[in-house]
This record gives sequence, C-alpha cells and structure tokens, in this order.
Amino acid sequence: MSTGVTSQGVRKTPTMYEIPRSARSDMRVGARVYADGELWEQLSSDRSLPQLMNVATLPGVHDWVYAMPDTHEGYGFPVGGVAAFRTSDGIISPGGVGYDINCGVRLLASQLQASDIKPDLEKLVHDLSRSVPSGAGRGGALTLSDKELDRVFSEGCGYLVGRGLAQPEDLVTTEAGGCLTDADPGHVSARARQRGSKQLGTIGSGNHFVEVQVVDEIFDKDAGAALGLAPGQITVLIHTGSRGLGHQVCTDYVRIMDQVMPKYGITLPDRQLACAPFASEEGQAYFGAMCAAANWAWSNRQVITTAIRKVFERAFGEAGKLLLVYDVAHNIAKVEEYNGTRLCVHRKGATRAFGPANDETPEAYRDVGQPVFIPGSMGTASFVLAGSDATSSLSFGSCCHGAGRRMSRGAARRIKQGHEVRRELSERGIVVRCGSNKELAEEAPHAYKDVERVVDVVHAAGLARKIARLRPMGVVKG
Amino acid sequence: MSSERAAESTSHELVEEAFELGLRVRAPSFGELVAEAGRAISKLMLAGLAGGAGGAGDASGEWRRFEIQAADRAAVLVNWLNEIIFHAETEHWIPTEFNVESASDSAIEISARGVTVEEAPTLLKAATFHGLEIKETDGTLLVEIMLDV
Repeated sequence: MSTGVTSQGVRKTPTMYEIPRSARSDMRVGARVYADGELWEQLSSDRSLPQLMNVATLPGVHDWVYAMPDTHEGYGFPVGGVAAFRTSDGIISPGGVGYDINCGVRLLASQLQASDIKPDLEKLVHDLSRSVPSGAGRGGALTLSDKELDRVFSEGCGYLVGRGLAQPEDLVTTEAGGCLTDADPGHVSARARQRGSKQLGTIGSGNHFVEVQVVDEIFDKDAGAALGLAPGQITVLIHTGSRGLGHQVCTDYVRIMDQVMPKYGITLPDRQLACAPFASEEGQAYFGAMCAAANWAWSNRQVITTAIRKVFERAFGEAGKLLLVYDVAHNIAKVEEYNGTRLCVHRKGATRAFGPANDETPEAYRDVGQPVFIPGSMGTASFVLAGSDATSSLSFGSCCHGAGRRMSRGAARRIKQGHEVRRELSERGIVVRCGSNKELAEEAPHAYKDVERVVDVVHAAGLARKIARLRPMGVVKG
Repeated sequence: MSSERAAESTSHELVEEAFELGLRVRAPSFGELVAEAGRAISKLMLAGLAGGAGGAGDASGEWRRFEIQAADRAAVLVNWLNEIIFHAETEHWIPTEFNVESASDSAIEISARGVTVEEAPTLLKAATFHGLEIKETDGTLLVEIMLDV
C-alpha cells in the first residue's frame, strides 16, 4: 500500500521534510517531518502522513504539526506526532494523547558494574519478574481505596513519599515533579477508577518492560557525568504507563467528545480525532481527567521503582542502591507558552526535550538539558539524549520516543516465533522473562525500525543530542 | 431473508491493518452485527486460555442485560465492544451467548451470558473509531473495527 503523500513532501534539510499547507485544502498549517531519506520512504507504506495532515485541519492548530523520526500510523493522530493548539481558540483531543496516557520511560542508575551482576543475572531478572507484576490485566500488590486513589490522582508521586514508596529526591528528577496540578479526580469515571484501583505498580503488556542494561558507550563525557552515567555501569529502564485506567479515560472522553462536536461546529476527517475546544466544559473535564491519569502513571513507575530497588538492595546491599536519573512522559498534553502564546501541546509517542535554559529542566541538569530516553526494541540498544534550547522552535520542545514499529504484530510472529526470539536473545547473553511466547514474537527486534538510525536523525536535526548508549542484559516483559 | 441464509451471511474474521489488530464482521442486520462483533471479540480474548473455555455451550450463570445508546450505529458498536472489554478486564467475565432484544441506529438492547475465567484473558485495551465505517451491500452489513491491543 502506498498513500502517495511522500510525493507532496519537499526535503528542506537532510533530516527534515515539509508538506505545505497547500497540499490539502482543509489543512490550516503545514507539516514538518523529521526523517532521513530512508525513513521518509518507509512512511509511504502506512497512513501516518495522511494522519498528520488530518491533525493539521483541527481548529486552533498553531504554527506547524510535526512527525518525529519514529513516526508510524496510530489511531487518529500518528504515533510520533506533535501538535499544539491555542488554548484561546483551539481544541484538546484524547486521540492526540493516546490511550495509554503518560506512557513514559524512567531510568535508574546504580553504582554496579556489569561484572558485578553477570554471575547472578539469571537470578536477578527472575527476582525482578516476581517482584514487578506484568502481563495484561494483572493487578499489583497495592489495592487503593477510593480516597487513596484520589490522592494519587491529585498529588501523584508526592503522595507516595508519605507512604514510603518514593524518596523526596525522586520528585526532583521526575517530569513535573510527578504531579500535574490541573488534575481533577472528579472527572475520572467510576469505570476508570475501577480499572486503576488494583493496577498501581504493574508493567502491563505489549511493548512495556523493565530492562537491566549496561552503559555501552558515552558520546558526551561531561553530560554523561552530569547525569551520573559512565561506561560499564548498570542501569534499569522502566517503560509503562497508565494501564487500564488511562485506556478507560481515553475511551470515556472519545465517546463524550464524539457526541458534543456538533455543538461546537467541529467536523473531522477522522472520527478518532474526536475533540472539543480546550476552554469548553468537556475540554476542561478531559484535561482534568488526563492530568489525574498522568499522575497515576508517574506513580505507577514510582511504585515499580520501589519494588526494583528492593530487589537490587537484597541482591547487592548498599552497592545496589538505585538513583533516579529522570522520568519523562511520551503520551501527554500539556499547557506551555511559546513566544507569548499559550498552547496545549499534544505529544503522542513523542518526548518532551527541553533545553538547559528551561525552568522545567531540573537544576542539576541545567548545564546539560532535560534527559530524554529512547528505548530500542527488545534486544537492541536504548539511548540517553538531552534536549536543547533550540528544540522549542523546531518541534515545540519535542523529540522521538522509541524505535517505532515497522510491521504489524502478526507479521512479526510470521517471521519468527517466540521461542526462536528467546533463544536468539539468550545466545547474545540477554536474559528474558516473558510469560507469553506470542508477545515475545510480537516485540522482536525485527518488528521495529532501526533505533540507531532514528536517534541519529534526532541528533542531526538538533532535536536532542546523544549522550549514552545502553545495551540490554536482562528484560522483564509483560 | 431466511434464517438459514441469515446465518450464512453472519461471520467474522481477524484482520491486521498496518500495525494493529481488527475484526471484520458481516451480518444481515445491525442487531446481528452487534452480536457477531461480541462473539468475535470474546473469541479473541478467550483464545489461548487453558482449558479451552469459551464455546457457546460453556456459557453459564445469569443473563446480563445491556442498553447502549449513542449518536449512530458506529458509536453504538464501539461502545458495545468497549463494554465487553471493561467487564473482561475488571471481572474476567466474557460473554459468549447473545440475545438481541432490540436494535436501532442509535441504540441496542442486548442480553448476554458467558464465562468467568480465572486466568487473565488475552486483553484488548479498547475498540476504536479508527477507519470505522459500516457498509451495506446486497442486504449484508460489513464493518471493520480496529482494536488497541
């Protein structure tokens, strides 16, 4: 299948293509796509570019819409899409955030070296798989009452400090301190609450994971040192989000917005883009609920962090202490100001990448920029990057979020079965714990784009700069 | 349409489109389309569970009654499937038998009974509007519904 849209794009730089506003009569702004020649050509085989152009038709869309180098087709918005809408006359769209609200990545750093854990790697990964529940629909060790759930929604990770599930310093290196203050638990439905009440501290399924890694290469020694990273060091990367809770919030508000759009005179090229004016009752209700779900997701990664810390401290004592390098969302909508205009920036499968001068970059990283993590596929490297101040004018301060899928789950299974993937990873010394061979096959490295190429485009385009490469040693998958 | 012919024109299959999984469902009426979509999603969620639960004959317990209202048929269908997904995740209850009581372009009343499984079912996270269009050809309705997995 070819959408033919790539022929409408003009290469403006070696790593950026433009689709002009004139490409379609209903587009309100143009589209910019960060890609090299090969990634650009790959985009002709799915509908991500027509989807990006659909986003450019939405009311109040500002300046440009962007696709990151890992972009691929999503529901409504493409994954890897960034779009900003004026809070004064623009919309907010649940589809622009995605079902897994505040899906994100958190990196923990130890003082251990690879040689310290290698003899016990099997046992370590096994203990992690027993301590961090994973898999579809799995509940966690914590069951929250309605009142406790409200506090997680309102206070995020701050609430967990009092519960002994977070250290105060963890909040400093979590995006937004792990709490969006616009959260409104009153706009989270009873169904979403039900789905969220038993899943705090769980990974879930799909491409979510906990990965034990070694720092394979440092590209920027000073920046690496500022983040506490050095070659040979053991790190842990956590990738998960808001589980069934986030899906229910998105489902609820797609339904609500689908009903109210006629009232606001909004017509769409794709119903999955259902939206409402940001300032409207429905827009504000979704924003309040989305912020609450985002706070739950940061708390989810925090509770998982506590479980992982216990495993490492049991195994390695004081040497197993894990420090939180940073935690950053890649499915979220946030209100930010650019050149004096307040915008609701939607990042769906895109990571915030603020530079050193931004107030939201933690004090400790002011010489470096906000850390950005780009997980590879299972078995391939992940990358640590840092945002730059220039990114604000390139992509509303955003960069990519992963390697990006390049084939369907079924196609991946047909190429290689789960037990083959498991054996190949084992032959490379990577220990995998995954309850489902099917999931393993679906998340195999060949199902994803080349993460090195994606990261090189990000670096060359100036969206973020490379600091370190992390190589997987052990993976716990949902 | 005779009941035999109606049964022949009611079917479902899995589809894979780009990066996601979906259902292609055919039925002679909207009510049957809703019921068949329910059967399809239930079968998908029960696939791979130990014990082979999930055939229509395995259904037990009380019939549960559902009323879904929405702006149009597409929204009714999406809301119905999300209803099933919610019960599967929160109760591990999966409907396998369906009885459509009434169906219009904006509402459906349907009863269902099914199985409660111990093991977490293969979970689908949401039914979406992505590319959703209900087409009618020669008295048969056809729809493709993409699922977030």
